Amino acid sequence: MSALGFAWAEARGVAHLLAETARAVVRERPASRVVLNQAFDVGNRSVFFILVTLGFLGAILNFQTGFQAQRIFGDTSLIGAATLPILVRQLGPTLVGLMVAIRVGTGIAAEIGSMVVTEQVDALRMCGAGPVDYLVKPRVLAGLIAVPALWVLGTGSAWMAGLWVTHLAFQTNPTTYINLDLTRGADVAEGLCKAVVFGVVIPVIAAHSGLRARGGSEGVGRATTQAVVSASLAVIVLDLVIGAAAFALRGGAGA
Amino acid sequence: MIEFEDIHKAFGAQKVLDGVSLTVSQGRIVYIIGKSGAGKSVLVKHLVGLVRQDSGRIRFEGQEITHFTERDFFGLRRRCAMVFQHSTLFDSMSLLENVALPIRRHLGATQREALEQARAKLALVDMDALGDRLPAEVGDGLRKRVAIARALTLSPRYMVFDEPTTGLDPVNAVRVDRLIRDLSDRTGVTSVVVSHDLRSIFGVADRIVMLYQGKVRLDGTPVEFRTSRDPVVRQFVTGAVEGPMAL
Amino acid sequence: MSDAVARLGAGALALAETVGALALFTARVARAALRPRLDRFETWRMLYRVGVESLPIVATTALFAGAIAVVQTGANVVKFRAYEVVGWAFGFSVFREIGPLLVGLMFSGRVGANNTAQLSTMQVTEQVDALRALAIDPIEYLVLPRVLSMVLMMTTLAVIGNAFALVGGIATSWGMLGVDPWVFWNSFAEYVTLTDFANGVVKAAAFGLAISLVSCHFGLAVRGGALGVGRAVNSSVVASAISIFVLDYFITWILK
Repeated sequence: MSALGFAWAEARGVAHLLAETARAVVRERPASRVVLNQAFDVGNRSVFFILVTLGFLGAILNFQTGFQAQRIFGDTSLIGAATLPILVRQLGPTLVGLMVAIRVGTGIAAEIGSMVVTEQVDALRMCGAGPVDYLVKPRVLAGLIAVPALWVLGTGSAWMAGLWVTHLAFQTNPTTYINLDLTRGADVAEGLCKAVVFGVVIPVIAAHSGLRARGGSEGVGRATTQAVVSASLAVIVLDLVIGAAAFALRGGAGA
Repeated sequence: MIEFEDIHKAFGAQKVLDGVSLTVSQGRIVYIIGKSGAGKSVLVKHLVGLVRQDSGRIRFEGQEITHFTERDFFGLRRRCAMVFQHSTLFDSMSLLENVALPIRRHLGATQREALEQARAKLALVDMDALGDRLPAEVGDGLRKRVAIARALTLSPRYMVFDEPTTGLDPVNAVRVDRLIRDLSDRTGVTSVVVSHDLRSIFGVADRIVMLYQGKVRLDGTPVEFRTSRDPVVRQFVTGAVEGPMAL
Repeated sequence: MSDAVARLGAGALALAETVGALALFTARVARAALRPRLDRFETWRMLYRVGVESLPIVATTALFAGAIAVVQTGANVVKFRAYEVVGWAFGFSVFREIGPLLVGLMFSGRVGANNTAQLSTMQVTEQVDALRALAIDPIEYLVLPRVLSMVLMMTTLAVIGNAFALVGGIATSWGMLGVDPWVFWNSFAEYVTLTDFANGVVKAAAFGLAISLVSCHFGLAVRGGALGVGRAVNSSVVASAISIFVLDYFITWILK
């Protein structure tokens, strides 16, 4: 029961911070150059990680699907066509989201958390720089830009890995694999929507955990753990919500 | 008996020990003193293998431990225990469980037996009533006493104390001093104490070794220290701000 | 330009160093495991803690994962009127892939990160040195119980997670696609094999092993104070995630 209560309190806190950040953005939008620099920084830190993990994901997905298809239908020519839409609207954004929650989420929570426990945030406040304005806002805006970019890169990496694997394992012709027939604009829209939402929510959750760190190294440890768990859970829940909404919008079960 | 022979130790570019030699006889209380950062803690940590020398030799009870592996040190650590500067209790367990841990691990006791024996050890330092508290819930002085109790669980013949009274209020400091003296008088334990607490030094020590700039400056009895004409020693003893020792 | 190359080179070196350190650590743990002097008390304590920590989050994730799997394949199911196949498709993809992968990632976040946080805090406050001074081997006392309990728990969670995902899947396909739970269950029971199930369990065990070794290593190898702890947790979850994907790929390949 207390786990549920804790989750609820956490969600309320995050929503509050999100609202505050939105207000801060409306009040004073930072220079585009600054935001772009930070987005680049965020992307840079994660790009290798995303390329590797999503690459393996693409390989696994195509291998598994191809293997089952071969077992059941004896034909692997539709693999590329069939896996791409799933990658674009589902596995791509979800796993990029989870990886960003892991990489960037812990990073932000660790940075802000250690600033809190060493009283640097208090010092900031004394200088008139509010933590939301100074620490949270730039990171959220950076995420807004960086995560969709990472989604594109990650999905691309998974797709390329799939091409390679199907060629090696099933001798599938690359030109057969590269098949955009089954991929709709709606799939891209769904994937992009998820990426944007994750890009905003993950930094907010991580910053929220960081700002509540208490008590030296132990507090920082707890904050980073909380950040990755909450952010990952949020990705999964939001994934379902957006996916279900997209499903309904596409006409649902009556399509 | 403990013998350090020409020990050198550097951390990166900083030379901390520059040819230190000293001998500690059985049953004695030896104080290693010097200003902060003089290498006192580093020196005594060599004894239990938490720091390894760059060059030089160390003998423990006649046995050469210079090239001991971590595995080899396990045997030694049961005969030579260490009390850390910040007590360093395990904060995920109660005070009682802290003391019970080595009993359980080394004396083949079950957890329940170990807890009972731990309670007896805590009683020796007047801490048995607070056994169920967590380390974070009690003050520094009390933690220090529990740390000492924990170190005594395996009945070591040698004890290393790293700044046992630093940061303690005067009452608790005196208590710790008495414990160290009692140990030596009643059980013949050999104690090596790192300290810069002058009152403890002159009250408890059988012998004093002063480290300065990585070397042994003076090695003698408390009387020899108090009456020394060496300007460095004098500055330390009188606590003067001016003198050869840079602050 | 040369600056970028230098950074790339430095990055590669750092990576090699990390992988090497991890390999050395694994070897030390393996050696300690050969003559296990397991602390029974500590192991039970770990088992309890890991289980309590991970169960709620894994159950929730699995529930959602099951729902997501159905929603995503829903359009195709409707289009091809493949209602009977839903159970089977769900079964094999969740049991073999999505289940262990998501459970692994959530476990890494919940348990792995926490583990690294605790061990690194201990290391930074000299408690690990205090253990050594008491002639207690940190690998035997701290690491082995954690490795054992995390592997056991991950394996158990894979099974429990599958059950929850099934519930989520059945509920969603009934609610959104109008697939009768019986139909779902029939196609599931008919076509999903024990091999599919075993496949997922093997993966889960492997993930558990990787997560435990990685999280313990980064915890004990921490340098610096509060920020060091944060960085250690960061490195730990990143390395765990990479290990999970790499292992997933190779096990999928080997066990086909």
